[in-house]
Amino acid sequence: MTYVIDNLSFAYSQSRVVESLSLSIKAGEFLAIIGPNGAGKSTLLKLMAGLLSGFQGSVNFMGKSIVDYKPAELARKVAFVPQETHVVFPFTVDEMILMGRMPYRQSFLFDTETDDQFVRQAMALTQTEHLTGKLFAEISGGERQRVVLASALAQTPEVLLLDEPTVYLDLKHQIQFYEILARLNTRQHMTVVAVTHDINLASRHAGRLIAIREGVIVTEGTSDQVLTAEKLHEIFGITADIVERPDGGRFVIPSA
Amino acid sequence: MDDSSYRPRKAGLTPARFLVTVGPCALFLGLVLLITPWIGSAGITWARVWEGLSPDREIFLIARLPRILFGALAGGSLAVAGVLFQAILRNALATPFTLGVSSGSSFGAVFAIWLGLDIVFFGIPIVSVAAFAGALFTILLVFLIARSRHALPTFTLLLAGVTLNFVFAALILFIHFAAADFNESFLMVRWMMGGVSDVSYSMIAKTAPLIVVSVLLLLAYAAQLNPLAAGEDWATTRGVNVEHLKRVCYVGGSLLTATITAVTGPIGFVGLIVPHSLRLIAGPDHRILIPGAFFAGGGFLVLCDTMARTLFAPTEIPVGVITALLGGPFFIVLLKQRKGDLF
Repeated sequence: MTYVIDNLSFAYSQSRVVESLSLSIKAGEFLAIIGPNGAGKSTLLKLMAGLLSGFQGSVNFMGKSIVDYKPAELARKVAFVPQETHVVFPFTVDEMILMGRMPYRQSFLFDTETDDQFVRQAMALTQTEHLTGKLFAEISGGERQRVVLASALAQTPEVLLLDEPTVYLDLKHQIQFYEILARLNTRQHMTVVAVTHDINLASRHAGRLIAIREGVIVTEGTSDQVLTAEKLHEIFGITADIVERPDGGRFVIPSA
Repeated sequence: MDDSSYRPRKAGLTPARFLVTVGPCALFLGLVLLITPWIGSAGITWARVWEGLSPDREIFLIARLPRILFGALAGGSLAVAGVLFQAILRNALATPFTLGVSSGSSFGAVFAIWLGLDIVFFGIPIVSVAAFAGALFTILLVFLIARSRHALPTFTLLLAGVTLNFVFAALILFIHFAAADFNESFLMVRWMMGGVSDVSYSMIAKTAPLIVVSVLLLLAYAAQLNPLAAGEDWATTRGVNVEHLKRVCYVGGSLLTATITAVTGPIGFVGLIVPHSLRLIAGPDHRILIPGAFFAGGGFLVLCDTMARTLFAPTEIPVGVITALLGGPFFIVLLKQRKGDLF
């Protein structure tokens, strides 16, 4: 097991966001976390990334509690891709990707040839080679998100955690981004955990979906099991038509 | 995409690239240090300085050299502190004085002048001691106000610092208004204008080791400041202990500022202009910025101070006037040369 989360609860000051949640994630899984706004999806992901402290219950990663990891030790295994990334100073695309090599630093001042190789490799995987030398702040949203993914890949992680990574992208870039994730998952056996509102896109690639509402898991399973009219009503409070996609999967058309 | 607004540069930092970027800054400082002692209202020659016991030697060794050496330390420290504060506050407008260090130390100095104390502690005048104490008190106060649950939230830190700036400024005004006679008032105003005159070799000997060691220690954290530019979560998930980093840089930057300000009074603009100019020329990598700013800031302040003491000789202009009047236009030209947004 990669992650074993047991009886996890978390609250921001007063309001509880995650409520006695338990979840196990196998190595090599592609898991999509869905649910309405404020359900606790992003919080769960941040807890898994070691970004929040002061929770109850346990988050175990590869047999060890997440709080016992040193930041660099965890960063070598787990990478995190946020919704959006703003950078205050004029860093280039290459420099942003190079930051993914932080947890491997040996010299306090200089970078190595190996760092450079991993940066090139991450750029190739994310189709961002043509952006080399450009300022991160000046490229398009779709390109930026691929660069952020490249920076995460430069960490050579075993697990990728993504928080609504395609929410600001257009259709083409959404599809492209998920195809890259699917390739990483199938070819490199990277564990992928993505929080998303795009049920249709996620369900095409994710082997398992879990739905969270008010901090608890309401349902989980394959897309066939989760994407039913009754379940969607339970999760989102909507009525939806489910149609068969030509490739055999399910497609959700929300109606009210 | 318009390709004119950036110059492609290699991402990684190699010893060669370090030399190409930081080297010129060191060279600039070296040249300034070599040339400026010979510039001034009294003409001096190398031969007569060498002769011994000549007025030229006095002017060179007593009047100019310590002032120039301390100017280099002061400019370097303030520029490095600017880099650090801009990095940890993730704010391009932050300066060494943003978090109240300057007004705290000014308050200490003004208070000591008001009390009319004339004591020397271990060779350091009481006004400097009081200014340093005021700065330390402010650092501690800002820290205690901003700290919550073992973390140092950036926005609270900024607000606490800015608020204390106003409180101390008000207290200084109050002392001025309520208590000071004309002579004290003059001394207070003079101190708050800032400047590197009246510096002794013993003062340099006391501060230089502290400053050089601090800058070297802070350089060890430089690489970690890069990912912080994209946010605390971004840095944390890349293995950076963000709270530790912020604390080290806040305390380090504040101590550098406090040490300098206690001797010179507040000198503005160096901590803003030098880091930004360097970022525009050499890029935002903090491993280049910290040593680069130390050298370039030193050279810049010595240059400004040379102008301050010579332009209207024998009258001296406050060096802060020159840093702003010389640095401002230079910075605007740099900004204009560059298309696209800075941040």
